[in-house]
Amino acid sequence: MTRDVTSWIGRAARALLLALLPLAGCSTAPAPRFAALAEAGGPALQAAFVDSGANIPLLHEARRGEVDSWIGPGGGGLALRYGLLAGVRGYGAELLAADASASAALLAAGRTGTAPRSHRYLTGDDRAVTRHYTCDISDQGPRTLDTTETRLFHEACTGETERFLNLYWLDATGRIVQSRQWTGPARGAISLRPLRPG
Amino acid sequence: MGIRLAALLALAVGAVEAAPLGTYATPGLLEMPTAGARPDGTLAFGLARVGPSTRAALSYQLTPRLRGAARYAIIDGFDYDGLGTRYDRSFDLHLDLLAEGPRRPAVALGLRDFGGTGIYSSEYLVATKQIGPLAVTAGLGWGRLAGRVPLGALPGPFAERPAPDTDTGQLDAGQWFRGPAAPFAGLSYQIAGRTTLLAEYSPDLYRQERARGAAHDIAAPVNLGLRHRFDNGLTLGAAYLYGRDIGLTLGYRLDPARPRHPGGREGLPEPLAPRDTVAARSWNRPGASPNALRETLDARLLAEGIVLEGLTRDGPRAGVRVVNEVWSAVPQAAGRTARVMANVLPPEVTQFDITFVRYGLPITTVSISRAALEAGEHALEGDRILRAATTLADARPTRAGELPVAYPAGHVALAPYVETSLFDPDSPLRYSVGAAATASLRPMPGLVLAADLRYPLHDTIGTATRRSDSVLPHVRTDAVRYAAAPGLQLHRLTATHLFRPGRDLFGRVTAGYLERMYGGVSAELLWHPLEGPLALGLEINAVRQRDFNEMFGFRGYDSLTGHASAYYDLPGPLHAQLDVGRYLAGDWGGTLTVMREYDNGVRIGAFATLTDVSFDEFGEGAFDKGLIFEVPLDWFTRRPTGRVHRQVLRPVQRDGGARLAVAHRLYPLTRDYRGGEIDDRFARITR
Repeated sequence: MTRDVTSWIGRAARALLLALLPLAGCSTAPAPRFAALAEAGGPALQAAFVDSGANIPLLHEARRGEVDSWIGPGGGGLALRYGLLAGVRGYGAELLAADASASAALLAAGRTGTAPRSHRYLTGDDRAVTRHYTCDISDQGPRTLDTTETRLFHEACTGETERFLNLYWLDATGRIVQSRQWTGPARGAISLRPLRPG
Repeated sequence: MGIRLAALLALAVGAVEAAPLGTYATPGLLEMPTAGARPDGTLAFGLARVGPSTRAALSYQLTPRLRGAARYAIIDGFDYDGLGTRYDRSFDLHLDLLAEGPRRPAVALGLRDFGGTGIYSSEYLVATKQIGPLAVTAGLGWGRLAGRVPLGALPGPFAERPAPDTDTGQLDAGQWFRGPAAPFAGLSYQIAGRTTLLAEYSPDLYRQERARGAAHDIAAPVNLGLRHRFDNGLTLGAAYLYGRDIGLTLGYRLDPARPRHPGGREGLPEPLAPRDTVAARSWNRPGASPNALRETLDARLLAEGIVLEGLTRDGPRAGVRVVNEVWSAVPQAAGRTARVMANVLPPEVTQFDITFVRYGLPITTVSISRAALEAGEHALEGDRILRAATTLADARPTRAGELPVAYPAGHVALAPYVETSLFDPDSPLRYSVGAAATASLRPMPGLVLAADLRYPLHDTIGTATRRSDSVLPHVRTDAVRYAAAPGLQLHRLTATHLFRPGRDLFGRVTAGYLERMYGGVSAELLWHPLEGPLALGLEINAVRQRDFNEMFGFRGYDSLTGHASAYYDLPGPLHAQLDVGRYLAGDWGGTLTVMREYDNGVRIGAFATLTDVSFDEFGEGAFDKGLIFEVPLDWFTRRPTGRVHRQVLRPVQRDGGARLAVAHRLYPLTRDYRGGEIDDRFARITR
């Protein structure tokens, strides 16, 4: 009997937690996974949506293969493949996934040229659509970021219905240290810069 | 491909032009209509005040050419020689015959108030041509629109316009385009960006209103106005009408296929950890207690809004039975569950079988392999990779590996409630607010004991003084007397057994106080195959009408009621349901419900019931019909809640064609998990 009562209490507590779950995003308390990472103190990025000016600190959550997953305090996050955006979750952005391997290869080699790029978007009607772009990568010359010497590369992409410009600041080793990348028509570009090294 | 391209264009273009609403609260200039369709699926709500008349309407672009609207008008001074207020319902249809071309105008045909009491009864043929910022409209109007300088009528049977039939609900087809016709015209000119100037010539003389004492004054046939459209879909307008009255309009339009946050605002699902990381987790190390693994899985699923009821392991396969509490897209729930399983269960487990359960009733098992999950996580078309590797199967009942906390389970909630009663002839909005207590107990899978109690604190529904004039048994029209029950009201006290009698079959037996007005026994059987558009159901109820005091007693009326139902997912966005059987008042007939369904969960539709009760016996409205709106709350917030707001709008509730309102009907329970619904929203699996 006692066991039954405790199990009911447990169930009621779960039900309460579930009822409150949707509110969690609205409150100021950070998502539990973000909070746990913040306590552990790992690498961090500062992200900001350029159009709305919304700032989001991101913490490194996982790395599998060549993709890093970053999570924000609201539970949303993004995936980066060699520093190039591979997907966004939770900010009203539609980017399900991206294939920018050709651009990544040119940037890693510090070369300019033309590269195909594909994005997969989630529409408001919950359909997934793939869009193809042709991108022109150009070297804009040296730029000093704080104390780091970088080269700025432009990636100008044109598709059937949209065009956008991504910016990458590469250090001497060819690593992307700062960038501004497009997340799709709904939220526009997001800027990413390191907040705390790993 | 065409649909995809259209979706993409929509994605790229963003907000399209607003639906400018006129003073009839439907698309148009001011009083006059215009030609031209709104984007398919546009839903617009309008509110307008013209002199002593207030009009509210909902219009919906049903197909690319056909638009429907439902209007509710409040006309001060229309009844009792200018002393009483008339509440009037009317319905419009607007058909675009020709789209606008480089040289030709858009041409449309329309019916205003085609099935109402006839105050606004009119028809029109209208053409509109856009020339730069200027739109020119000209047309011919019949009925009410032929008030001033009529040109004459069409020949033959169209020469005379018969008097309107005053019973709402019957089509006045005999009047359409008959009698004299008069010309009307108008201009709209877009000045700075979002602001439009309007001018029109209106032949409407407001004859009925003025004859009955409503304070409409017509000094000139000219109306002038100004309209401004805001970014968020809202339009505001002001007008100077007929040389006397000030008019105000407010419009709001939205496209259900385009929520404000298309990508959703829910958090990132757990990213997949590398297999060696998972293998090294404390609960997967040799000697760890199996409870540790189960508790970790339970806690991490709960964080995703998924409740774990059972866990089984069979070599490389692991099976979970879960309740999806928040995700309106089932693939999203499946994807998140599979990711948690992949991050918790040791790498030797390569196949995840996820069985979705509702009230202990197993519905569908979604099987995903670890390898596909990993391959699809960040791939460009990851959703396609995952769809190809995912299998669906009919779920079988089992209690193997059940968590000790899963059953018995209870739930108690105390919350405020608001109930509304619309379109009462004496007062358009009546409501009841108070406290609601709901309790449910699930002693074992498939058995639900539920109670629903209410304590009204303020009620204007029960204070209505009109009593039913129905000549049928009062199966629904005594609602006011139930609402007037003092103190605590027992709305529901039921025992429900849900079960799986066989493959693709679902069963339900419910007994008790089934709803506010009826108690008894209800039994249902549903055949709902995993694939395919068709499902069939059978429901039989033996009920007795409850006492007005909403407690345990009964009145003398018994009814044997039930239906055979066919549910069909039509090609495109439409869904049809046909119910044929015996209704509460003992009448035999059928109900057809057609819904337009968006893959994001928004559903908009209409239903109509015809039974062997004649239109005269039925009374006001002639037959039962209404509109249905279902919107998942996450459409607005884009945060997952699993809750759906359902609103049924009936112009009037009578006793013919009335059905029992029993809880836990099977089709809504299984729908999202069967018959291709999972495919429709599969793109969300990686969200």
